[in-house]
Amino acid sequence: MGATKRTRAPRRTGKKPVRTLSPAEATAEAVDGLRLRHPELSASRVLNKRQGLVILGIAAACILGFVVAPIGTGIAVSGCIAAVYLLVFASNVGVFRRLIHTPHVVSVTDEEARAIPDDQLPVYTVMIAAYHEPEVIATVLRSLAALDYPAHLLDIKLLLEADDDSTRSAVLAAHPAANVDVVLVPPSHPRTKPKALNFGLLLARGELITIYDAEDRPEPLQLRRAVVAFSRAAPRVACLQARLEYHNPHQNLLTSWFAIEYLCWFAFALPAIAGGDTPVPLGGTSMHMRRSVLMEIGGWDPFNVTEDCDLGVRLYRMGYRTEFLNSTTYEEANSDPINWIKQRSRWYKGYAQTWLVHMRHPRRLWRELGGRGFCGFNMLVGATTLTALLNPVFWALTLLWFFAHPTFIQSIFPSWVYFPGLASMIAGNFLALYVDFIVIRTAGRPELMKAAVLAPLYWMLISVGALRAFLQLAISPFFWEKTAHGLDRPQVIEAEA
Amino acid sequence: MQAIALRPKFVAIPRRLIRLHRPSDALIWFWTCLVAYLAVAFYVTLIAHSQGLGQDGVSRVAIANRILFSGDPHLAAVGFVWSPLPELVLVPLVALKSVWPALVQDAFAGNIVSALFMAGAAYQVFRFLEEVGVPRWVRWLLTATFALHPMIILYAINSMSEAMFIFFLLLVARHLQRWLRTQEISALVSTAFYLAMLYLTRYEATAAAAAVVVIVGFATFTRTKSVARRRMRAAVLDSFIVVAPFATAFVLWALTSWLITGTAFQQLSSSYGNAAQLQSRGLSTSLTLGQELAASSQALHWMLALEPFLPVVIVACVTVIVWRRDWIALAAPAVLGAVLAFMFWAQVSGSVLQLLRYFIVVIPLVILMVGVTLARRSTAGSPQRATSRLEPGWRDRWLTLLWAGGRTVAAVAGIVLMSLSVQAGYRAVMDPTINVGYAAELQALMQRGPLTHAERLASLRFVTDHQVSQYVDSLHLGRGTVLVDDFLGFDIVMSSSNTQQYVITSDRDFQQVLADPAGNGVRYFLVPSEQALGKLDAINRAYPGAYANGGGLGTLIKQFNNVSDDTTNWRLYRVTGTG
Repeated sequence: MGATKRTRAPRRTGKKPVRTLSPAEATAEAVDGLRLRHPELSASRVLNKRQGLVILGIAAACILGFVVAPIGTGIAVSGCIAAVYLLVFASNVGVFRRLIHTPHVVSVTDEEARAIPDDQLPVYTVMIAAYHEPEVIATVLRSLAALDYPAHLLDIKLLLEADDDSTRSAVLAAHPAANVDVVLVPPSHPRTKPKALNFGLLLARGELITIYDAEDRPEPLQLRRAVVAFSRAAPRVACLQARLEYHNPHQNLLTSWFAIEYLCWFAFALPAIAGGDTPVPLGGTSMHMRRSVLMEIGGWDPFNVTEDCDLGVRLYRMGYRTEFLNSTTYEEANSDPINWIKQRSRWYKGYAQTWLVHMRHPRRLWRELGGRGFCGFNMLVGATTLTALLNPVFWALTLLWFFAHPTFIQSIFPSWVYFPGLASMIAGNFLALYVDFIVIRTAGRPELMKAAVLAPLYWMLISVGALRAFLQLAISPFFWEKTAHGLDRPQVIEAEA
Repeated sequence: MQAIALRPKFVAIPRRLIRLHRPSDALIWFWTCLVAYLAVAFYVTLIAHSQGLGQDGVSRVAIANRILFSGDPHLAAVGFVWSPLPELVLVPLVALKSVWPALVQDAFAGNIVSALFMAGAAYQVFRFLEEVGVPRWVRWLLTATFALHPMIILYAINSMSEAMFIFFLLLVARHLQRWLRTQEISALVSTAFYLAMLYLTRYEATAAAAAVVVIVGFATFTRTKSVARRRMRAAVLDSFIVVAPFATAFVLWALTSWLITGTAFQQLSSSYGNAAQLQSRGLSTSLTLGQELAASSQALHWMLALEPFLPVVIVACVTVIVWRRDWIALAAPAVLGAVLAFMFWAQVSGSVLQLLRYFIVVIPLVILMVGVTLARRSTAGSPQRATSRLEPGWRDRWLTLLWAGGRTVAAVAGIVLMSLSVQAGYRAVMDPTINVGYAAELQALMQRGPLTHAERLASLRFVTDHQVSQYVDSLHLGRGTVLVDDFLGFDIVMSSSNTQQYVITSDRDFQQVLADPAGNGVRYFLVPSEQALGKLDAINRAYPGAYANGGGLGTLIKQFNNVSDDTTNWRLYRVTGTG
């Protein structure tokens, strides 16, 4: 394979844990490990004391302001929000320009992927966390069997909850291969996927590790590509995120919208920000990581419902980087609106959790991420959720203004707030819609055009999800709403360049 | 860009100390043109005080001025009859008028902007020739024939929006060509964006947009290798991408106009729009066949006056393209040609006034076509092979020499023709039968000796407006005390030192004040004489006979007769019932 920095000594067995842990100890480590070692990075508390005080302070100031000087406070609030939107728009334009000019992708050709002889491949841990998924578990077992990787070097961990009998019986009925370990995670609070992953991490043997969901279908050469890419990459590159795509984009309008959104993210936005300073929020699956690094940064946060986003930010904070791997994993897009809203609420709740956790010490975050990374983090993680929540409010205000011209709107939007706000609303929405079309074009999927035209309706759904997310954040932050799978019908995608 | 050492080699200076990068040829052109155009504009406007040069450009500066400094400063004062971008670009410059009053008093802000954009257009021409693969010496000389063309120089220094239009049009053409060549999505997006900018500069961009959409759709349809339905979808998608920003600008501008003024397309229906202006001058908008034929031949005559070798160049260009089968090269000329064709049709059908400046696009069109003809390689990128790669025998060597010689002859011919066009252009610009309404002014400017009567009159445009303005200023009036429709009175308002004393059409309470001037604090009003465009004046329309005898509204204080060849006189009336 040529001279590379890493040694290529054959590793048939990975590192074994230093001592064997009992189930109770393992559970304690999985649940409380991060919280005890890095309490400031754990989402076990939604807000720390200082954040709580700040939020109370702002709330009190607003209430007082509205009582004493309603117009002035109104202007201040609308001015601040307009400024946020303007910043988001400006950063989106920056991303857009990078998007269309210089995407940053790590590509490994099929020949290069197959070129490594088996004895030079490391042990690869593949973890699948499943809960109440008897219908689809057979799919992933089949996909894993189809992976082009020597079976004896694959360390597959199927993480099931101990009281999940239906899935367990489905797994046994599918006759898993010999390299599949079925790990039963003892039930404990919080009952989340990252806790299960942490549990599995303690038992992992591989040098590299990746996660798949129960309904995923990764392309067969993905693991090999990851190995090649890691061997070429700097030691700082600790994670490779592969592309996620939906195999059922034409099932209905919702899946088309979802497919476009994923295309925007994985075919475009991710390659644009990877290779820069902005922390990359990872996708929930197909992130290939060096296990040593994962252990070093404390594993997953079991209290965060989007553990992948949190992990991505923590990676960057500890000085590591994520690159984008040109390899596809097919997932199932949610086709049922109610199910979709639950999933989206969980995502936004997690984003909000992640933002609150990492913004506990803003100065430290700035030092660790750098100025650009800090701003990028705020735009990507913070502003996404916030604007999704505020959008319906301002749309309502806009329509009210144009049809009824109530005077209170005129008074809280003086021209120096009104014009920038209006400009960023128009330009921002146009850009969001325009990007959808460009993404479809570049991905060679013109049949998604009809869905793209109707995208504003999708944005309304997103706002509903965001609203629900904020309510849940206040009421039950660690509640993981399970997404039902298996609702798709088999489809064939016709994707041409 | 290479770093050059400033001292001879024997004195070793570390390269890091002297970071002088030689700028690219195109940038050199830009800066040279900018400085030259600004210098000429400075001389003409501020030293020779030839204000009539500005024409519509002066009214644009007035609009920017009223956005910021009128009695009711608001952004919607930009007005919805004409496209907003030329005025909006002027706003930052006009804001500096307290630093340099000439920016507004002499409307020099407009000259700066037009010089900037025409220099930019020269840059674009050079870059286009570079991208097409024209040899360096030919590039330089061809760009010179563009930048030195008298019509181009005139519109670089006269603050009108043609410069901005040509700039964006060339950008659209360049990026469209780049997309056709490389298929990069960034090129398509750039084309789309500049097309939207073009629309916001002038409405004629609609013709360019139509051409671009057709070209993009056709190109994608023929290039996609798939079933017909997929090809159709891909073509529609690409056309959509290229036209979306333009369509958004179109819809948003119409929507804003409708929200603020109640009419969506003021250009067509406004009482100050094209149709109204034509009518007020007694020109019909629907012509008979005979009139149309006359208009066509006049239009052709004017186009050829600007660029006499247009037919030759068209034939040569088409021949070369067909011979090379390099259809991509047709795209840029097609876009400019579409705009030109649209202006031709507009003139012939009587929808617009008959002015030479509507054909200015023929100049860059011809230069681009010459460039395409002389390109060393086809735009597809593959170099032309005149001879085989095998051992060159004496015959091959002769063929190569012949090819090179032929190309050089063609290049020299192209440059000679373009230089002759420069000379022809000068004659056209100075000819009063071709450059209607403008040539007299220019002749006055260029004359060293005594001026003819017509020339002298032409050189005195806007002087009357300044006289009116100074008189009103000397009355030391308060805020909102003088009513005037700034459709024709824009220079009066603009050159005033107290703009807030005027209540003008763009003020949000103008209609209210017009209905009851005395009750709203107005003490005086100004009306233009009721000939030609004066008929469209708001006060003349609201109070018939306002000019003749006050229209029952006021008593005559003073009359200002126009000293130039413009027939608009002004009268100042005091509103009855006020002190």
